[in-house]
Amino acid sequence: MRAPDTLTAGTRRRIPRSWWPWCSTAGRLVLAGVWAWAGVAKLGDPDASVRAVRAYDILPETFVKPFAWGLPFVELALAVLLLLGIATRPAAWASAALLLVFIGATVSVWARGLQIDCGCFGGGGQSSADATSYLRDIGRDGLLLCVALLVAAGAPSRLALDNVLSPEER
Amino acid sequence: MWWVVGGVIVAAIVVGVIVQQSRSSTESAKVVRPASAVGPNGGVLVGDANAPVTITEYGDFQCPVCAQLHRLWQPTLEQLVQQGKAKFEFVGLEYLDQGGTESLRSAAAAVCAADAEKFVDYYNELYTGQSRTENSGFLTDARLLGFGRSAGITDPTFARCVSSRKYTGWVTKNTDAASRRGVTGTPTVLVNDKVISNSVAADPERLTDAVNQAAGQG
Repeated sequence: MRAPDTLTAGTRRRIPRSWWPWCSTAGRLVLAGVWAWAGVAKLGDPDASVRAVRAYDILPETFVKPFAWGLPFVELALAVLLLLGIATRPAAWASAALLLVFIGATVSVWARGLQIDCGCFGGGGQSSADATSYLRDIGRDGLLLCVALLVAAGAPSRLALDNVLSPEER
Repeated sequence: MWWVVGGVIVAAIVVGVIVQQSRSSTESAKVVRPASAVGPNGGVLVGDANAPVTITEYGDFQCPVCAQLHRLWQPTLEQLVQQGKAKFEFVGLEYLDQGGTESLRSAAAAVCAADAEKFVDYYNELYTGQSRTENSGFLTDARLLGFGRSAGITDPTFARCVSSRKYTGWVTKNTDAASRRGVTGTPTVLVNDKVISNSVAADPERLTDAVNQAAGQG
């Protein structure tokens, strides 16, 4: 079926309405992939995770370990929810919130002139050379934030368990 | 559906803390205090303990910038220590281990070498013989013992110390302490507990100035 608004006046083409749910599906899979990768990479060395969180010098020591140790599991949980399409929208909002936290933290270390590695995909957060690349990290997280917002606010996804579990809440 | 995500996140944090705490080597480290001289930051101490200034290096034997610094500052460092102007403290860290234990075991082996009174030679061997790639499996126990032979260590307790991982808990403890005090990278150099930049440390004149200045303030 072709929606009547697929073509606007002039030559600009819009994405057909029927594609939107598939865009949401694609967005979900991208986010799920990134969260899974980030989560698995951080699992290997719990001590490095703690050092990485500490290196940001933002959280008080009491919260450093719960954050460092909880984060990979939260990332994996979000990956599973998004992959299966369970509670898709809240999971996407939660992803957006987490990405905003990451962006904020990166901006904060950059502004304070600290030299650290983000530890985004594992590692202990230390940078031995001047190879810090805050802008790249912020750009990547910004792109992912757009994807998360698209899934959170966009059309209901295809291939999502939400459609089976609670179709009225989509 | 919000409660699903909220509940899953809370559960994930609880599970994460329980699982990772049980896997953390910092939490379970068996700490043996070295018999050799121990500096104020838990490192090996070289030189006159009464020297007015302490130069502390937080280093990692897998870290290429540390090896570079070693090459650049070694003559000045030796001179300052020999003149009695400064003592040198080396705190070996396991910052660059990713999945492996090469930084950890080499730092622990250096403490074993200190027990055998051959720390400086062993430290020099580890930095000058550093592999070009990190976490490549280069620093096996056999190679750590080989560096010991090159450093002139004949004491059989050294081999036992290295292979029994006697001081790995000590290194883990020092690594955690370093992270807590804000050491985010290696090398980090301190003169009397004040961080100096690596470019100052690598420059003989500026390093000597920094030491003289610290001695003046002492």
